[in-house]
Amino acid sequence: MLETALRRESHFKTVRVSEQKVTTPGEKTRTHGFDQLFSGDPGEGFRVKTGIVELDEMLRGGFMPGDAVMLSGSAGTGKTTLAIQYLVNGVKLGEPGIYVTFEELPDQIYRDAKNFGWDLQRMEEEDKFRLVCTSPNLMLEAGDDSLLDDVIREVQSRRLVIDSLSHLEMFVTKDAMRTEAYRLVRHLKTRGVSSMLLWESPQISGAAFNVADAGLSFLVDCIVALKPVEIESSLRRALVILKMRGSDHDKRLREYEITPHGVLVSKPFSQYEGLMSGSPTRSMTDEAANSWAFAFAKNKQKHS
Amino acid sequence: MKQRIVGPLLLPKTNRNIPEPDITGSGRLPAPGEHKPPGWRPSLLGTIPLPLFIGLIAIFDLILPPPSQLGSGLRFEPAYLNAILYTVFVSITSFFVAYISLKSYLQTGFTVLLVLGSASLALGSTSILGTWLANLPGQLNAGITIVNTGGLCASIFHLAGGSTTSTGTSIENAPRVRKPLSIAAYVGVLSFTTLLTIASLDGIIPLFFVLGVGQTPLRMAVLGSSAALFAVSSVLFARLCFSSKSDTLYWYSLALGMTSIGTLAIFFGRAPGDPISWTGRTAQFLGGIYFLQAVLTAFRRPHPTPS
Repeated sequence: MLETALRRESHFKTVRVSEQKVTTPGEKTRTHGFDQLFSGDPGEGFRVKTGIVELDEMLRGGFMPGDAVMLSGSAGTGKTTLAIQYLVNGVKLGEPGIYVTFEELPDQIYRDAKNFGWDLQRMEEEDKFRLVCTSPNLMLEAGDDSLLDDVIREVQSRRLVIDSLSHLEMFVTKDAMRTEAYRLVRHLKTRGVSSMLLWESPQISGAAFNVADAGLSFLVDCIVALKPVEIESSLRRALVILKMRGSDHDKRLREYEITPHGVLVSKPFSQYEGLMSGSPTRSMTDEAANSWAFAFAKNKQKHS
Repeated sequence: MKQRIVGPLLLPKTNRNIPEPDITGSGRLPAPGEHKPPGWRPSLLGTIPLPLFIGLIAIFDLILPPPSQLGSGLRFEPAYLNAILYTVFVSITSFFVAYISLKSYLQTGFTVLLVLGSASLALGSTSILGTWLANLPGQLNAGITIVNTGGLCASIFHLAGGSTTSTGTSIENAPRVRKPLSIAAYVGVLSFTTLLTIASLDGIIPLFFVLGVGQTPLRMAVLGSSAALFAVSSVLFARLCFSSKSDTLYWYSLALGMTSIGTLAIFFGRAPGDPISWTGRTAQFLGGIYFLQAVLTAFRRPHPTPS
């Protein structure tokens, strides 16, 4: 108890020194991953905020601490952007993060992040962020002596992103993939790290997310799916929480955009049906309402 | 046998949905707005009742005696029948129009839709309340006052909607204000109906109808005004429907026309339940069916999103 109290006190000092503006329940309980897991420190209701207000609303406050989250989506849906934003916002909230990539080179990631106004290099210098660029086979060879342990200790990381789990698939069979993913998820959980695992679903259109195909859906606690949808001949993006263990969540599909400041989640697609198929249609009443408006608006257009 | 190639005749003609390029002209495809719609043929059957009802009213007005000499045999007014018919043909259909207008407004933000929705809500809510109240003992005047005043209110809204659409002065509201504005408008209309009902029951509003005497000049003024306003709105929407070739507007303008004739018939009526009164009521009920038909055409004919 005394140790926990002291730890809390020292944390508050750290926050004051580093002039963090945001105070969250997470800050109060910020401890090293190992200690956190066993101290039972995180209070009830504590959530790992993504920092994207609307997404946090959908998650009823954020992800559950220590949960493994799968971020699934096809190419161009903004998985990497959302994942980096999650880490950057974590840093702002006093939760250091690690970004493990099997895909892009560090310079490329630094450059892309800078375009969104996120200075990852500065965060690294401040020991609030680490970028780990490795290959999937190196990680697989390391097994339980994870390569990540040192980095997790170094920055006292609370958040970790793996971009992407799909790369592991190239080095192992489908069955072994499940075993390796399970080992990785369990390893990060025992370190008290909230992990976000990116998964590239090969299909751009159609109903499938292919999460279940890989047999990974049961390994993770939460699945956030990003989906391109065709509406009136233009491509828009939908975000949906498919699963969230131990918590209520918004079941609606919401539109999101990739803006110069990152991912912006907006309103639910209330007027459309069949969004998951990639080719949604409006409900009959909405179509009629549209037609009704057109009967009167057409004249307006003529005069204007 | 060898075929000779003769210009555009050999173009594939399997898919008739794809417009063929104008290769004899500039070679460009017609722009979306340039497409001439196939000949617009509205159902002329819908217009037949208009002169029919006008003729019937004129005939009945000529042959019927004044209110004081009207025998009970010329009156047919079973309890609740009028209320049931008004509820089914006027109120429910008006609520459909109010609902579809509200949805359209929330989607597009055109204020004219909110005005038309408010008109329908006023007509529907006052009709249902007034006709049922009129069946209560001693509340005939209150019921008539509510129905007629609601009708006047609806006709004013319709005229406002028709004129703004005709002049192209309808405003398009921003998405963030649509919901509060629509709530304010619909709650406002329902509050007006409530206040009107209270005022009528309390006798605050001057008499509209005196049993045994007939309608008062106030009622005649209210009915005459609403009939005229409904008629003008009908003409405005009819003009628009012919320029835009819209089935929805066609049935909407006919519905307003029938409502106008129905109101006019009550103006000439001798007493509730007399032949003129029933002619007018039938015209109003038919107007309700036309309103519903206008809504149904919207369900049947998908249109592109108005920009």
